[in-house]
Parts: sequence; structure tokens; C-alpha cells
Amino acid sequence: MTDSRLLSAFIDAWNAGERPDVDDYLAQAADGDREDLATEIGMFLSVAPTPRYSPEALDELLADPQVKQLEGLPAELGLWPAALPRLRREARLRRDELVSRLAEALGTKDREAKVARYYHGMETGTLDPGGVSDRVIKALASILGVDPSELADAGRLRGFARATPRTAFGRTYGAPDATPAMPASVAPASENEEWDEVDELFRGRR
Amino acid sequence: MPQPRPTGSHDQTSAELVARVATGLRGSGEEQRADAVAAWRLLIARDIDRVRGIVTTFRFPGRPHVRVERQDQPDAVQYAYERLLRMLPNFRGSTEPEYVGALVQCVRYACMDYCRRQMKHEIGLGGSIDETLPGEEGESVGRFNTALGRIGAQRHEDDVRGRADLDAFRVGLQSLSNENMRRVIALTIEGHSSAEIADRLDLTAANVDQLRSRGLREIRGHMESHD
Repeated sequence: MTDSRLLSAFIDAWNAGERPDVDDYLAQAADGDREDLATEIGMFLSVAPTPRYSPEALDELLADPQVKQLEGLPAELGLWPAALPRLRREARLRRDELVSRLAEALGTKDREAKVARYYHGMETGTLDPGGVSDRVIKALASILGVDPSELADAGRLRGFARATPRTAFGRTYGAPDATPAMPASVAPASENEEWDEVDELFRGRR
Repeated sequence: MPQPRPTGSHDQTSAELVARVATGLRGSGEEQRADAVAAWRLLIARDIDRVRGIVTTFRFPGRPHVRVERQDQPDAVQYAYERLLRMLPNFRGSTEPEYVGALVQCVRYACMDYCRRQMKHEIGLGGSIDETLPGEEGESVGRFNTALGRIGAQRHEDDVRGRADLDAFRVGLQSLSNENMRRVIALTIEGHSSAEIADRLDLTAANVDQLRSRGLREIRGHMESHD
């Protein structure tokens, strides 16, 4: 199939709501035509209307694993449970490696296990993003190679938080609460464990 | 409390959902805002294929060899989707083309930032900083140096740039000298199939294919020359 025929076939399939896969079409192009075809498909996608999908196609789209992963996150969690593991993959860091560097950067190397518990809470959505200090955000952003404000925004899912009080992490948002409760997964290991600098960094707010 | 989920509303078109977003964002009530959020989530969920397609075809401006590698595309798509979720408060459009323009810019900037991070990580991991690739004029250039310099970590105004690109596309479309080419592209982006266009303009299917391909290429050339 020629480049122009492949482009037309892609466009027709898109407009018909058939959900064409770009890679399938690029794979059919001759080596010398592939780049041009990619450019033209990209150009079309930048202006094409969203097709009128059938109810079945819409169900498929809403059930897409990547859509579901992010849509399933309550706003209280922000996007950290999705974004942090992704950023760690991009940085090619295991969680223990990241925790080690984070503890080092925060000057709490001697309490690395506690840092690990808190970081686990950030990745699993069991730690209130609102309590995490700027120092942690900056250190984490530096390790992951991302802008600190972007990381902070992902934690807050800016613009989606509601003004009215709501409950998450065992506490009420928007209401005075000096002693936030904490889920068991990130709580200090023992009741006798004293509030220290690590707690302050991860739960003491900015 | 979970956010509104993108379920239901199968009967609404994207244009209607954009209108719901615009109305909700203009309102001051909690209910209106929640409706804008729900409509926005439906909109971008419906466009996950467009997001994937743009990531797949993304070529870094001025450095076409810098792109999102195939194995990295799922992560880049996820990152772009995260940014789309976050961009709602900044969206000022009220029409579907404005929404598409903003979405496309958001995804492109996400790709740029993704590539930037990948390069930083590769440099950090060592071994790649001296890699050279052919430049735009055949010269040998460091893979990272120029691209890193061009990609700022600054925040991008996806919405504003999206509108500018939309306008540039319209100007490019009007600048096409071939009348049939202009009509083929206009009908294409209205969602018509090649058979319908061929029938309406009394052209062969092969003509439509050629005019589509050449038309999109010419518009792109026009947009790049005015960028």
C-alpha cells in the first residue's frame, strides 16, 4: 500500500470510530515512507474531531487500563500512586535505591527504614499528600529528574480538590485538625516511637 | 470520596461535553464544577487513542531523531494523561476544536518533557553523552546538548499554544492553492470518509488519497515556516 493510501485508510478508520492503531499502519509503510506517514498521521490527529464512537467502543475506551488506572484514583490521593512508580521506572531506580538516596538527601540516613515506610505510603496512596514538606518534594524531584512544582501538583491534583470538608486518611479535609490520623501502613512502628524529624518531613506540612 | 467516574453519558458528543466543561468552569457552584470535572474526564478518556497516536508520531521539533522510544510509549502516554487531568483549571475553550488543540499541545509538551527526562537519566547513567547523531544539515551533533538546551523545564501554556496552532492550521488550509486539495482537507477534518469526499467532489478515491496526503504536508510546511 502506498503512503497516501495508508494515510487515507487510517483517516477513514479513525473517522468511522474503528480505533485504528498507528503502529499497525506505520508497520505497513515502506522504510523510506514511514517517517512521512508518521508526520501526516500526527498532523491529522492534531486537528481531527473525536469520532462518534459506538456505545461498545466507548465502553472499551473507558475500560482502557491506562484510563482506569488514573480515573480510579480518588482526588485525595492526587496522582502520586500512578506518577511516582512511573517516574521511578523512567529513572531506572528500584524503590530501595530511591529511598536510600532520599534518606541521604534529607539528612536522615540513620532512619532510612522510616523514610521507606513513608515513601511506600506516597506510592500506595496511604499518606496524605498535603502533609508532605517542600523539602521532601524537592529532594524527590531532584532524584527523579522532574520539576518540583510538577511533582507537587501531581500530589495535589491541582484544581480538582473540593472546597467542602471531606474525609480521607482518617481525617477531615478543610476542618481544623492539629493531629492528623495516619493509616496503619505508614504509622510509626510502635506507639512508643516519638515524633521526629522524619515525621515532620512527611506529615508536618510545609 | 471518589471523583466522578467517566461512566454514562454515551449519548453526548464531544462537542456537547466541551460545552459542559465550559459551563461548569464558568460557574461558581460546587455542583457545576463537579460536572465540569466529570465531563472533562469523559472527554479525555474518549481521546486516549489520540493521545497514544500523538505520542507514537511525536518527533522533537528541530530534532526528529529525538522521540519517545517504543518501549517507553506506555509511560509517556500515562504521563501525558496525568497532565491532561491536571490541565482542566487552565482550559479556557468552549468548542471542540479548541479542546483538541489544547489536548494536542498538552500531549506534545508532555512528550518533550518526557524526552528531556529520559536524556537527563541517560546522561546520569553515563555512556551516552558523547553519542552523536546527524543534525538538521548533516552535521554531527551531540544527541543531548542542543535538545537539552531547547527544552526548558518551564511550565507550558498548552491552552494558549493549542489555539495558536489551530489558527495556524486554518491559515495553512486557506493558503492551499489547489481548490480540490483545500476542499478534501476541509471535508476530511469534518469527519467524512474518502468515499464520501470522492463522491461529493467527483474525484477518484486515489485522487482523494493523494490530495489528503499532499494537503496535510503542505499545511504542515506552512505552519513550520510561520512558527
